[in-house]
Amino acid sequence: MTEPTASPAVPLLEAVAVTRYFEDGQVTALKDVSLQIDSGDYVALVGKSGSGKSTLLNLLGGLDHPTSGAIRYRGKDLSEFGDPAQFRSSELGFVFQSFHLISVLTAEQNVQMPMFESSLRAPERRERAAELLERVGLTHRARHLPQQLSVGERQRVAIARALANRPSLLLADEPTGNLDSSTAESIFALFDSLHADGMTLLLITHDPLLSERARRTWTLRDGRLGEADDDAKPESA
Amino acid sequence: MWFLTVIFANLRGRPARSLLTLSGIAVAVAAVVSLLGVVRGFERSLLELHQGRGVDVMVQQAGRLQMTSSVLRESIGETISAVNGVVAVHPSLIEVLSLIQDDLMGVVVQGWSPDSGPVQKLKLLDGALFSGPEAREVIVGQRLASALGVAVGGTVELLEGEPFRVVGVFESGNVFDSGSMFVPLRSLQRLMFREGEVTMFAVVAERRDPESLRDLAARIRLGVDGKVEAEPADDLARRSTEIRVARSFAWLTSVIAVTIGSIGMLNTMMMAVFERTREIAMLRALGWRRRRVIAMILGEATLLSVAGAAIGVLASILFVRFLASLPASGRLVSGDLPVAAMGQGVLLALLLGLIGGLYPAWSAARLTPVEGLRHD
Repeated sequence: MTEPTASPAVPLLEAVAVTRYFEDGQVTALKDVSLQIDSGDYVALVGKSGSGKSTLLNLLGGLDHPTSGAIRYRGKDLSEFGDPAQFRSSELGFVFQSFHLISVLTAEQNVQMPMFESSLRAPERRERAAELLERVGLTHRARHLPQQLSVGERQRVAIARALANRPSLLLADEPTGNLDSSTAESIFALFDSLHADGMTLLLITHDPLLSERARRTWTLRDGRLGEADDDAKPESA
Repeated sequence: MWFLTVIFANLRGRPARSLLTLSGIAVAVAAVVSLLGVVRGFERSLLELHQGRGVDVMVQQAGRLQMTSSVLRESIGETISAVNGVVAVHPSLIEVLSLIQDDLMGVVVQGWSPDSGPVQKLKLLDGALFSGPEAREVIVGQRLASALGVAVGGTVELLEGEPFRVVGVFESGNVFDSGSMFVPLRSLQRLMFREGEVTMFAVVAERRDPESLRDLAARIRLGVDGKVEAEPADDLARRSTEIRVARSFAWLTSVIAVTIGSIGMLNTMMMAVFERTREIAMLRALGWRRRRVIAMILGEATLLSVAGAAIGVLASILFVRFLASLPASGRLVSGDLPVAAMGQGVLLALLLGLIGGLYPAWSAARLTPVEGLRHD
């Protein structure tokens, strides 16, 4: 996993007074949100439906632009990155609730998809995909199509894919939302293990079991970020 | 995994649509290649026809769209012969007849003097040349003989109750010649009640370079008392009405094929993009740049085009060979497709891929990840 390289003074990712309106200002999705995520953090973002969690994740991941305020990655405003796609490719990993695996590609091929934007050659891509599938315990399912995998296995493939370009930060939107409790538990364990390896994680979740395992939990209510209860967490899950 | 593997997997994953699009392109390419091939073969045959006969300048009635409708007095031949630089003049009457009893339409019957160059240069496979200038005899081209089912010693009724004896069968690499028959000029004039009339004069020139031939043609035009059109045979063949009509028809058909093919490709690729909106948005979220999305969609369109082109060209080769084997069309179609026509077919397919894939690719690349991930 990527070693944290940011200086302690500069957060890995930072939102400064971020506001996001939709429909010409009729709908306020986020209002004056400020936060910091440091290298090695394990943060859960909780909140009711419509509270603005996904909007915040999209902004932090460079998928959307704030109406006002700024998002900074290692102290640099995201708008200063020439191509947001390049930023996402090299620095971020995304995990979605619905996995979004490509049905006509095998597990191993799905994991390789983000690597087309890296400088890796085909044999290196294959080798890294095999390593990542081993990391998520799916070596034996590498040549299976998504529809031949269980939902838990699909999410593991999606996590392996998110790690394809060795990102500094993993963003996950309801990663256990479609999983039963025992399958969700295996995904929790995988996130714990990634965190233990030094990965920085920001997870949106409704699942209290997952938010409890995070080191910090933030709550969004009506587009405003609530108090962080950082210190209440034990060091290990 | 190679990028091409992704493109191939995307097409293989939607077999019905991919096959339908591929079929559409193949049909468009086959239609265009076949038509262009036949027209080019037609053109080449017409050019070779005169070259093979040693004819340098053709003289016909001015203002006629088609050579067969030209009518000239045979006596003009003497005036033409007197023009400086003319070595020989061969008058010819050309009729296009329908041999009802043999169910063959549009058979070209060429009336030439037995001692004329074109008759003397015939390569006989069987039989002999004409026995005299007024003999009721025909020498039949190999393809026509095959279509008529006649051989030396048989008869052909040029008009009802007017049998002509087959005295020879000739071979010719030229599809027109091979699909026609030769008759002594006098016999044909008499049969058609056109004594003293000819369709054209074939002139053999002393100097055969293009400049000299154009000069000679100009002098013939000036020397003949009457409205005639004299042109080097190659020039006349190139701008003949038949070729121009055939070319126009082929290009018109090509445009229709391109339009239909493009719409088919556009539809397929738009549907592919629409169905995969979330997938494309996810790829963008994972860091795929716009140009990679464009490359993927255009790659799919191009792969379909290339496969369609290969099938289309193969189908056109088989189709043209089939046409050449039929009695009715075999007299007009040589069965060989020029490489240029096949090249045009491949270019057409690539054009279809480009036209049909460009907009969907652009529209996929414009998709923002957030909008796309919300798409149902």
